[in-house]
Amino acid sequence: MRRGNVSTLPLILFSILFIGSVVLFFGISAISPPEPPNVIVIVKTVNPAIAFWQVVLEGVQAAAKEFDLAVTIDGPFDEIDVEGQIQIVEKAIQKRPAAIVLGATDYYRLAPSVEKAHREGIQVITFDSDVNSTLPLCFVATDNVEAGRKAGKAMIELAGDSSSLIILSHVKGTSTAIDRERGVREVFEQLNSHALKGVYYCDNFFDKAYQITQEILTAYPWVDGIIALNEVSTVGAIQAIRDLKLKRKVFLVGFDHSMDEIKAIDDGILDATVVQKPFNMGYIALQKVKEVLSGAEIERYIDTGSVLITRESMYYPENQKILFPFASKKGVE
Amino acid sequence: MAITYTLLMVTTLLVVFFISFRVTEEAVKANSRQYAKQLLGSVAYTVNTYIDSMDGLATFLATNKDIFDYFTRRHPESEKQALRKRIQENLSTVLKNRKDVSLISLIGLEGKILFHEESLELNSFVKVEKQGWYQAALQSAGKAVFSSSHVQNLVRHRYPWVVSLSKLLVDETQGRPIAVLLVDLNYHLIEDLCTNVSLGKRGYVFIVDSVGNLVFHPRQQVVYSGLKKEPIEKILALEAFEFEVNDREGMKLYSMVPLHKAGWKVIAVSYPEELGVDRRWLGRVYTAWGILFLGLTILFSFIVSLRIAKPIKLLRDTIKVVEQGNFDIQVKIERSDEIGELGKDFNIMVQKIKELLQLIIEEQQNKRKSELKALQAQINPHFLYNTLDSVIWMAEDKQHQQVIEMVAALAKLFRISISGGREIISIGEEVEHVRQYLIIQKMRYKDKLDYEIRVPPELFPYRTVKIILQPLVENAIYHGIKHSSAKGEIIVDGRLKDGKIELLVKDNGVGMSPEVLAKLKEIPYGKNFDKKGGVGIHNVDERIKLYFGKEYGIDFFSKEGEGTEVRIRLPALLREEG
Repeated sequence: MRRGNVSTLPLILFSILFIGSVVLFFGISAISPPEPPNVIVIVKTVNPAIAFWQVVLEGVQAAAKEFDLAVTIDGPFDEIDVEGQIQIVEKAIQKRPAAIVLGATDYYRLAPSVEKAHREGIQVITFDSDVNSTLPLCFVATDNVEAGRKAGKAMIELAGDSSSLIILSHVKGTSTAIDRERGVREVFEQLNSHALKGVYYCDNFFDKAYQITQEILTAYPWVDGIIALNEVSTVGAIQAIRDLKLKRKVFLVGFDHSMDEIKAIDDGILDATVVQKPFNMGYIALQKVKEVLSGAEIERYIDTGSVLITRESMYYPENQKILFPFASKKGVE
Repeated sequence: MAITYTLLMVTTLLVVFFISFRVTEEAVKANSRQYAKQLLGSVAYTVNTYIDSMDGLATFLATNKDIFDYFTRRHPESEKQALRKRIQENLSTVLKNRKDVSLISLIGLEGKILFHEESLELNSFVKVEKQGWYQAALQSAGKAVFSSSHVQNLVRHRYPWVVSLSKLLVDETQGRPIAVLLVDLNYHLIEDLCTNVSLGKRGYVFIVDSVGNLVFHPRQQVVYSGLKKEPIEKILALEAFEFEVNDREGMKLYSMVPLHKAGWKVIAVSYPEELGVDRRWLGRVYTAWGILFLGLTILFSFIVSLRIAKPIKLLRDTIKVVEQGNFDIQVKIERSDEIGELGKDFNIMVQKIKELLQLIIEEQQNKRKSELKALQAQINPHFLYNTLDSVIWMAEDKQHQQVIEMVAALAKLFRISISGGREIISIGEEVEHVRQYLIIQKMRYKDKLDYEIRVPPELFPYRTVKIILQPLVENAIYHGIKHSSAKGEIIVDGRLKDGKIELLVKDNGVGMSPEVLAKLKEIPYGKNFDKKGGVGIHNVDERIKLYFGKEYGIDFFSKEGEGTEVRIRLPALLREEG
């Protein structure tokens, strides 16, 4: 060892080590205990009366606990409030979460917001309803075209392909409405059936769905059946048929499974309903967030599946778990 | 040196940290297992309490006489209505006090159905005889049967999740089954109980029934969709267990408690790594401390190297220089500790060595001088001249015999004095040498000189410096006897005394005055005293001291007019040394 090194080397080493240790030590206290990553979940509606989204959020919460994610939930009160949801997304971007999970109220208008989030380095996953962009890392949803096909086939079995039918949809432009309608139409087109007479939109308002159904059934008594494409339109149609005392005279095939719909099946008003798996949707979306954040490659699209429920199949044990989620127990009695 | 030291410290440190990390980890793991076990025990206990209380209620109702009357006896319609009302009042009272039970129902085998409240309306769509709980009750002859969790759709517009107890009521007098009793347990009691269990961040509790259906699972839908799997088969196969499953969700610990009455199993799933302390966090804390200590260790070893190893290295380098013969070097370690002392001592030592070396060099030079002097002593030209003069004189007188004796003695004398160039010879040889010398002198001085050699033969093998007796005898003759009027007598003696040898040369000559004696003794070592006789004596003394040490040498004892005694002290050495 040279004489020059002896005096300077330990000094340099000590300085490095001292600074390193201090940084490490305070770093440790700062990181302990490790903070879970922030995830903002933006749904189409936070209205507690909409069972579907409440169950989605049950799945979100279950996954948040299991995968150790700090989840914040937000969304407009009404599904039609696209502008409101855009602002919520903008606000969420400013909070700089690790990821945003979005159920888009509009396929086209939410796309710029998603692109902005992506530019800010936020991971975006969509669920239930996608946006017109290739940027979301994953889209977790029911295969809505397939779900539409199931509804269409169920209606043909009930009313036959030469009947007169209408579609009661929710919000024009939203991807679920587009895809489900396409699924229904595919079934009729394959059979060269001209049973479909029209499509109406209730804008996801119960009152509007009720009103439309009542007006149609009053004005056009020849209508044999209604295919309602989501929970709100189905419940509106149920109420209208019940009030008009048209039970078992007009066939009704709906979507989802609120308590009102289940009662209506028991009462014979609702003949069949295509049930999605909202719990799984929320759960898987968050599972994918976890995978993305830990650096895994994930699939672009995940189908959570759907099941057609009829009066006969509703109490099968496997369907009970889907139809009567524990979440809705409070609304049961 | 510094590197070895650092490596040793680092290795020790790493081992210590690794061991304590493992110990902490194991302790946390054991703790979490214990915790999960306790929690599971309490959950199982509570669920069992619900089951027991349902069972108790069913047993209680099974003995109700009104119920038997209602379903067996033929009564007029009005009486039947009264009986029905009484049963319902009875059941309502029971239910009011029991929040855990949501529905009590009696289903007569002939089809009569009775709820605990008259206002409840039968779901017209339901076929009672096809319900699982109904069929199970019929098959198990009076024993209470517990269903898995399910939606109870018996009452119109009510869809509660329940766990059902069903029991076939038998009329004991006729041994005939009469009705099925249904008691529904509010499922959300179990749900709340199991959901509120806190087993770390991700741990949970679930319940399976005897055939593997999930009675409760916090992610029931996810499990039924096949997105999450539980080792149901393994759970069913084992009676009570604890096992670990390691999959992509990480390490999971399954522990189970069976509920015998219902045939269920309560299972707790915990993630040992997240209970108590986060393993990664623990690892980071240990790493941070490890790095800190490592740094200190490296620093410390540098200091040690600087303060101890460095001066030692300097010392070693200096020693190398000294080894090569440079004794003028001095180390400069200005420290007051042990290292400084070592440096000082080293410097002193080098100085001492230097001085001793100087002394040795001087002694060697003196030895060489003394050898030269011994050589000088061997060939005293005066003696040779006088002796040869005597020989001539005797030859002229034709005393052939004496000539032969004298020349022979002279020859022996010189042979011994040369003695193959050795400086050390045996006392025997030395005595022989002086004997030859005295023979020659006796022949010269005749009646004026007498001599006697009394050295005992046992002293002969011992060693001595050569030519020490002859110069003393020569002195005795020339300075003692020659000036004495009386007949001179010389005695050469020897003895072994206190492990030392003493040789004596005594004469009865003129002796020395105390002043002369004192002057003789004063002469410093190595210096010549007087050109005549003194040379011999001092040469002898000097040579003895050089070869055997200062404690040996010559002593004089003399009295004026009485003679002189010279004592030579020598070590008793048998073999030549040095």
